[in-house]
Amino acid sequence: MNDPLYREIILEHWQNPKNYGVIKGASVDITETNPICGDEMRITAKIKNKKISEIGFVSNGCAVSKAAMSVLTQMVKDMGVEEFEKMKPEKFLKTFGAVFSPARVKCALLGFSTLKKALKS
Amino acid sequence: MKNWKKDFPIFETYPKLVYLDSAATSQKPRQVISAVTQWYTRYNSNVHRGIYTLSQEATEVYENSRKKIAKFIGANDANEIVFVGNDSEGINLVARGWARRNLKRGDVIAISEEEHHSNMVPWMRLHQEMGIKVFFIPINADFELEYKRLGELPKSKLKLVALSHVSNVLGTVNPIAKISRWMRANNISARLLVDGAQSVPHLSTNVADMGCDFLVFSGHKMLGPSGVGVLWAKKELLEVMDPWLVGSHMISKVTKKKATYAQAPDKFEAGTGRLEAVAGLGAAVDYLTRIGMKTIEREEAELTEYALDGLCKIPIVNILGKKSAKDRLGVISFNVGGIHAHDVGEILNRRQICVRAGDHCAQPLMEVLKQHGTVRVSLYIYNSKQDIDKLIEGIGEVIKVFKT
Repeated sequence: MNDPLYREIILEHWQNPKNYGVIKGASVDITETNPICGDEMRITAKIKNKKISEIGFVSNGCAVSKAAMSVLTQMVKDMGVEEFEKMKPEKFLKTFGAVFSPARVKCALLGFSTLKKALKS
Repeated sequence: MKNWKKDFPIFETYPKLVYLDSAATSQKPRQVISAVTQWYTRYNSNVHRGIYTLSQEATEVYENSRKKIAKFIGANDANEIVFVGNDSEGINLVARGWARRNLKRGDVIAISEEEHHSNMVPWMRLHQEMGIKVFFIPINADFELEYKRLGELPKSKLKLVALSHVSNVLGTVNPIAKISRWMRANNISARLLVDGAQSVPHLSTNVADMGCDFLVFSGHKMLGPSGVGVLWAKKELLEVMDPWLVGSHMISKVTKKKATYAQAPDKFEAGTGRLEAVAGLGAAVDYLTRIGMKTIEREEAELTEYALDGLCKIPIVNILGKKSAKDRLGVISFNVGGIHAHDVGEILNRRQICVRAGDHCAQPLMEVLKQHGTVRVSLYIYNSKQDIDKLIEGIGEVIKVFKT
């Protein structure tokens, strides 16, 4: 099955999300809602030496938002905060090789933009 | 079952369209679209004010719609029909015009936990603004209202019971006439408001049989144009209601010192109305009447049974609501395993199957059901068994994509 949106990478991470859970004693703790569907995403993380040393998320969202966040947590773990801040959403979306409609781009980027917002503040 | 689909031009534009979202808004038959066009080509002028023929004819079409609607819901007097923008506006009018004037701090309004936000938030605002208490009637495991809980409330404080006739999520038909009789038998003198948004388009409606005091519904869910809804209320209640909007048309006399208001329904219809939409709603009532509401009830029950059967055969489909067509309509909420409703909707959309996914403007009910959202299928007379077959096939595809 080669679905244009639900690629293997999305289905895999949807079924077995990585870094799923809440980090205890996290210095970053943010909950964001997707205004289109009301889905919630909570991200918790620890920053050590300007690096994302630990990160976890919980979500009641759709396959796209959940899988995308799971992929993102793997990508940014041990990444410098500054390096993540420079990451462009277009580049992140390319990881999936999927066709996202405008509505689903918002799903795919929910975790990405939430983490950016959290690290800024 | 007759093929009513041919009357709906959208299915000529999209021959493969499987429209299963009529609880959100219905499609429009050619007869309604023509009535709107005819308004502009044959009648267009302002109503109630011209001394010329064109305006008089326009007024006649407009007021005939009011009469047709009164007859359609079993109201005695067309002057008890108030045109509003939609169902929400009708309920807000009762909240602003009647409840604010006649209720006081500590009074109780009872609603149910399955209400649409439109029959919930206006009452919650009265709680914030004037200390009205809002009581939520719970639903039981069979998705029925535990309405006898009303007996626990202080009789002298309970002023209004506001219930949907049909749940827009569960499809349950609430036994309004039975509830009304039970209330009277138990000396509960509270007024009864019925939110008919999901019932008036599908069930033969009679306000006297229901024993209600207010009935509110939307035109666009019953084949009519968007932009017009109806509030019916007993005359004696309209008399003790304040208008919400004031200004033109709703007055009987204005001097520099004082404005005196007109009688209902004019009192509540300030400004120029949604003229073409009212004309279209009259045509929708004609169309529904010609088919016959009993026929619609029968055909939809058959289709609902067929849909429920098909859905029940898929092991991972979990229906939230009654599993047989008895005491329910064709508004069917369900989930497909652990797959998010939006992902289900996405795959169905590729097959031109339109379903609703989300909380359906009933977030408190979602909490009660412990659901984050559901897929909702809702039927109307233009749907066929083939539409249901395509839905079932589409769900098969969802399961295949998600390998569950």
